[in-house]
Amino acid sequence: MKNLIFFIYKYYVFFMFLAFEVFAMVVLFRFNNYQQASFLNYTASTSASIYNAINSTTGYFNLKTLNDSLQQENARLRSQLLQSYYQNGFTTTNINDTLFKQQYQYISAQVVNNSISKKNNFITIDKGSLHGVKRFDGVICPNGVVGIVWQVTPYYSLVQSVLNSKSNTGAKVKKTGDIGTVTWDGANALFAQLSDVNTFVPVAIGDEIVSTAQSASYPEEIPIGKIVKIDRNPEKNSYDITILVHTPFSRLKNVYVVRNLFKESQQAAETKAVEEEAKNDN
Amino acid sequence: MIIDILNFLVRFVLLVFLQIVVINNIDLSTYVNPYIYVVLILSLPYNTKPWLVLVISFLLGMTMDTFSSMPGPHIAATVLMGYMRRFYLMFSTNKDDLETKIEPNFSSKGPIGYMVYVLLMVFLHHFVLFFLEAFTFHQFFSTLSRIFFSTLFTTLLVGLGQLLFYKVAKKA
Repeated sequence: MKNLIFFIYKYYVFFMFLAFEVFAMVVLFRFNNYQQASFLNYTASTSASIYNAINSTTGYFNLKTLNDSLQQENARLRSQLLQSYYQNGFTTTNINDTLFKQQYQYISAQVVNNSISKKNNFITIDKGSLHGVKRFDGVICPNGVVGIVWQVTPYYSLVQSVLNSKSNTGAKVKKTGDIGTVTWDGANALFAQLSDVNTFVPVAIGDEIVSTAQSASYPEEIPIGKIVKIDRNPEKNSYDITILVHTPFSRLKNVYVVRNLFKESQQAAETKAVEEEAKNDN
Repeated sequence: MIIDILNFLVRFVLLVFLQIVVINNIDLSTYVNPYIYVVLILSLPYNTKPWLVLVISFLLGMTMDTFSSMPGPHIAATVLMGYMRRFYLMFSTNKDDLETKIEPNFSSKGPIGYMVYVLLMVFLHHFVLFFLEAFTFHQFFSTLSRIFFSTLFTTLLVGLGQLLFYKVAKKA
């Protein structure tokens, strides 16, 4: 025992080093393990509030472009208002609408911190669980999809950007409706990759790629990008497609968190189906 | 002594601020991510106690992790660099200097000696950092080229910083 203590005392620097490294590995593995990242819960609100202070200063620099894009969006939404339609017909009746039930809620948020040059990019936004944000909600911006909510703290959330080597975005070719998966290879923030599109699908350069509601995180038909390059993958009998991303990740500011109100029931149905299949296999 | 501590704290805050506000927003390319904050550890005086170097590395790594949305990589990389620094200095500096309060910089190690020291330590740091951030050996060479270019860039920035402060020190 005495020898052991002497040994540890003699090499205490090495043991300290070891302890620090083990600590780092534990927090890293827990973060990557889809479990609640406890470290982040402590630190995220501190760092986010500092980023917020920095942002409120630097935010002035691109107010003009920001206003333009918001104005454009306002114009588009305004054109969808009931007042902007000519009422063709003169009888109005009030009906309790049971055919249309709200499926998506949008929570507007500001980007507090963002990176595009890492292999795994994350975005911090200034809305959290107190505002109704939940884990795995989709995040979109006026131009297209942004990412998926990854961690939620009371006032801030961390969004896994589409520009993350671990992100898988369910997508489809707008023209034909065939589905694929959008991933990012980490090389260039302007381009993403679309895979799993079968070779019999007639795709062409310039085709629009949009989101699909199958992933339950995004609504249907949110723009993602445009095809710029098509390669055949000889192993998988599918195309490897490069798409130009519509979302301007480098100057992202205003985003919306999409709450899918039917998500729980969609997922419940899906897990039930999987369970029943497993039961049938036995 | 108190002046040393204050001096260190000011450096700590300034470097972290410079890193997160300026350097992290350069976004030159996905292959160039310089992390100049490591210079804080690299320029600790020769006679800093090894345990103190480790504690400072840990705190610095923790601070950077707090600002980088993924916990762990900066701690692991900076602590490893802080641990290895001692061995490189033992090998590259003469014994008498190691007992003194001199900081490794252009004047004490010579420009070439200092740049080699920075290059090796930064490479070690970036190697661990980028692989932990990627968290996979998939696309091994893409990560490796990231490490390569970022190391060059960080070393360059540190060298430029030295040129800047070396001159100031000479005048004073």
